[in-house]
Amino acid sequence: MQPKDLYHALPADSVPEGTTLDQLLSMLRSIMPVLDEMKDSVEKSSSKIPKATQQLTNVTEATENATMEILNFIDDIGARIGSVEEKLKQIELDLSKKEESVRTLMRVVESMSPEQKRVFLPYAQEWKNLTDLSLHVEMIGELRKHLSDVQEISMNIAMALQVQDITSQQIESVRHLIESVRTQLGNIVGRYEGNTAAAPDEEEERTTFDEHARYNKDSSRQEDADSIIAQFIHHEPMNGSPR
Amino acid sequence: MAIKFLVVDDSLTMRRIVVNALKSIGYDSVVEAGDGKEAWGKLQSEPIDFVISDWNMPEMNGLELAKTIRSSPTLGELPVLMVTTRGNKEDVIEALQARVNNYIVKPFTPQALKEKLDQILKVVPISK
Repeated sequence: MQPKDLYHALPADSVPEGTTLDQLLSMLRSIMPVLDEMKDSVEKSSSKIPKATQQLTNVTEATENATMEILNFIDDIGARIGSVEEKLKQIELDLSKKEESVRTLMRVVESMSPEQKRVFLPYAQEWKNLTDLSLHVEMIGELRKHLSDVQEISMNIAMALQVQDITSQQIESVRHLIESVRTQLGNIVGRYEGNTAAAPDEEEERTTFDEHARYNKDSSRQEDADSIIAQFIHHEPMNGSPR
Repeated sequence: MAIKFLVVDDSLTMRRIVVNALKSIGYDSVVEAGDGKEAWGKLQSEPIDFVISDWNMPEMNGLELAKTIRSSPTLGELPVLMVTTRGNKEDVIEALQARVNNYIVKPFTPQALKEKLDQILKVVPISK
């Protein structure tokens, strides 16, 4: 018999006053309303859990969508860098052709007669000076360096977005915990209401998250893993614990 | 020599990140799968040279996938690199006992990925 059944089964004056049973019943009568209130509160709180877990799911979906958007922008940057790189190559080719044409011109002028050379050499020299391409070559080198830096920064941004995967696992861990609490509370309320069916054993649930997932760029975790791998490969005993 | 990778992760963003990291170090031939079961299906239907897999996934997780690969008479020697948030000593040992070739803890860098791939390919050369 559940406590509340006992509470309702025995009228207030059915037991002699002052007896132990009377005292017990008095205590039960005072506790029952509190327990009922607790039960109602638990049920009300539990009913809010689905909304809370849905909000957590919404957070994960939103961050995933935003992350994909950023990755799309990064791909776009990569494509544009590739396009600029192609144009720089074309410019370099063009500069190379111009340099070759200037050299050819100088050879032709050098092969002229002294009189012809006297006329044409100043113009050829001026043309050579006007088409001095060493500055352009230097600028192209600097541009290429900037492009490489931008590419590296883009890659660093992409790698930092691993935080989305890690935080989504953390959120999933919390969601799973909240659902577990809701189940436990449901079982308790059920037992209070006289549900004598045994609560099902908690099955070994397949989880899709790592409850210990952390966004930690410190290299020590990888170093610890590498140390274990090295020991494993060389069949050394796994003594001590990682840092 | 174009090595064909299979990237397995239930996170779409992580798959993109791994694919981008592979491209940045010169590997362009990549297929993807959202869990171990889908990955196993692809392994049986198309030629793949290298598997990079997450651990925690629905249907079939990365550890189960590695064990399934190793028990296959035709795919048993396929290189498998585990890329996961799990960094505990017990997890690393369990993965090594499942005979993964190497192990990366997230978050990782493209340089770390390249080092691990180079280490594996030195021991398990892929001939085309």
